[in-house]
Amino acid sequence: MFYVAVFGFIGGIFFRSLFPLDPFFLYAPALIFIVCAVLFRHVRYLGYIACAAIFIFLGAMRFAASDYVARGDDFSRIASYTGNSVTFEGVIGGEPDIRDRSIFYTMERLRVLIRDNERAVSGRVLLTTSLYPRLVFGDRVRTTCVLDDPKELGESYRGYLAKSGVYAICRYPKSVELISQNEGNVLKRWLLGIRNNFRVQTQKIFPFPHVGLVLGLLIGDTDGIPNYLKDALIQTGTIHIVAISGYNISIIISLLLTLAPYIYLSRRFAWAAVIPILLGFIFIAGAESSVVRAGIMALIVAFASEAGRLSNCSRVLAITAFLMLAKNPYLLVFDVGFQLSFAATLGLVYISPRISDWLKARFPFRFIAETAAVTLGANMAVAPILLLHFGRVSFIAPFVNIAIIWIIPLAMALGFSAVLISYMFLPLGKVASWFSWATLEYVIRAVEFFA
Amino acid sequence: MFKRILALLFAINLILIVIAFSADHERGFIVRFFDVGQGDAIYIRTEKKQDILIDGGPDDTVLSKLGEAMPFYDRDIDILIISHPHADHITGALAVLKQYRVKTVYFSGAEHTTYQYLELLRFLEEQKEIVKVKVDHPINLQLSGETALSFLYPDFDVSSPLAPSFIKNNLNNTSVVVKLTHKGHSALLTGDIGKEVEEYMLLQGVDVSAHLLKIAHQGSRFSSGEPFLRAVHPQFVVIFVGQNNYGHPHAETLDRLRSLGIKFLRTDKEGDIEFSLE
Repeated sequence: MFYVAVFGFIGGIFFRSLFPLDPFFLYAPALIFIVCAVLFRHVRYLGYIACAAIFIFLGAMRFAASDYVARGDDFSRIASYTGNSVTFEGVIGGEPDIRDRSIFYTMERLRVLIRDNERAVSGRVLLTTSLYPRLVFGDRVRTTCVLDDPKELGESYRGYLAKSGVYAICRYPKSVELISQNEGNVLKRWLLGIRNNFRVQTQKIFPFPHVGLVLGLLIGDTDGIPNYLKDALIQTGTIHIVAISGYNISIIISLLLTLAPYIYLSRRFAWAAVIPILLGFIFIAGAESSVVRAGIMALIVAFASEAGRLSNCSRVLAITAFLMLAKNPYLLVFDVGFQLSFAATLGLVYISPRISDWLKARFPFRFIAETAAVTLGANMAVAPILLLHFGRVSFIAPFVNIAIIWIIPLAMALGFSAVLISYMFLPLGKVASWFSWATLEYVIRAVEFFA
Repeated sequence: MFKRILALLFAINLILIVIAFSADHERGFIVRFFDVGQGDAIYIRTEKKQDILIDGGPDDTVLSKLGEAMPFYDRDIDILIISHPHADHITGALAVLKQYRVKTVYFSGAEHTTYQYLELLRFLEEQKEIVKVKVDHPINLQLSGETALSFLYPDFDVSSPLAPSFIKNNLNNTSVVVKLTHKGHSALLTGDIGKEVEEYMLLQGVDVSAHLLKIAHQGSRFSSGEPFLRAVHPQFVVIFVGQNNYGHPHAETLDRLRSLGIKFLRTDKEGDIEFSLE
């Protein structure tokens, strides 16, 4: 009954994401099945069907509720202003996404100015500007531009933006006027401050393009990776190492657990240390929802491999999916990251142990067998999703992954310690960074070789 | 077992670092013209391991180029020259200022109110340990026994009301012009100067002759007049150019070079261009 409910809910969201019809069409069948189930109580499967029907309806309703905000037709929603030239102000939310030639900001807490009237509107705006001036989280800015409707850029892009509450785009406005600063949430500002400080410190000791790679590994910040390297990572199916996808968090956990005996700590103590360290990592990475998700996924994998009990794990996974989708139903269809991290987790939990057993029975090297099993399991699970979204699956991906993944924990550990040392004494940090540099150089060379 | 693997990795790591160090040790003097698209970025590394960067190009590409060109342990730029405030010269320079430890910055002090330039000035203001030198008189830097860097232009304060009128409506004419000499060979690096500055320098009797010329302003037809090209009399010309809508480099300029029998190299065709000046 539990799985029927969860999958029904997910199915409802899925259905409504693809077919924008009125969810009340689902209300009728749900009602009929409930009546049937009550009338024919002795027929067991009718109860299941009724339950599924109810949750499908609820899922569809949940998505419709979010979608209602997106498709605005009254003036309390930003979506209703698209197509017009509008003067508005808002606060920069989150980290700006800095590209080679432009920057993407998300503006929230919007106020539209019509003649002399101000009016608060719901929704967010994606603001694109050239590389300067730089705005930071918490800046309140005012600008005038013709708001574009994300719909014109395709349904999947619309969904992708709607996922983070963005319903209008403002591209390269003539001027952006800074009204006030430090308006954002204090805690978030503090977190982003830590992240930024960490980034600046890392930039002091690592050369290009290694600095981009190490920041990607440690805090999931890919802005510093030059395009040619990013393309190479994508082509070889290794881009996941620099995205906080649960993978690097899994590494941190397994590193802690493996290293604990060597520094004379009990396994139980190591487990106790995992949670605060994981939280610290999530904070440095900016505590975005994708990072939190990755943290949860990594914990699930760690617990599963520790306890070796898969049945409990699938229940936890189902509940996690249910809660995440209840909070943001756009994730299911429009967020590739969500799909990939779930698929990879499923692969790690269900496929990898089987491959690992098979390999260990045939090859003498435990370490290599385990690395290969982890990589192959995750790769097999994400392959269908990659095929669906990008139309191709990289067949070299498993091999490149096996070639580089074993060194990633080392690169992360060395890189992180180098940054920590540099906080204490910069020249020593520079020397420490050389060790990490060599591992990063290996990763870069390997990826470029295969790409 | 685990400890042994770790020790082994550590040893391999150390060997790699030593190899990388010794490989860098053997490199001599180089001048490299980075292919940064439509903009300028020139990197000079002297045999005394000084790093000099002239302009930074229109985006952050220069960072990856520097990462390749400089040894991995070197995070210092000794001299950064900002020729003039246009975005295709300073955007990358600003990124370099933020990510490297720049020791000295040379600039003409021209006034311009774009966001980039104001941000650059603000950043320079904040960083007290960077030495800032305004180029308003000829400067001759002896980098080593055989290498010298001379600032030829501007030899007046470009922000002064008494400055010549040809800089008033044309920021390109405030470009810093430098001449690099190494073992008797020289390179003239001209920023974006127009014909007015070329004539001014010739009138002042500045010795502009050089073996290598970085042609001004992407090969614009408003620069590189015939008298100037004759006076410089270069063997090679480097043209910084990328995709653009201005028609750079102009056919007129290229014809001038051809008629004078000067070979030219373009960054959009050749990618990075390197000279050893020996």
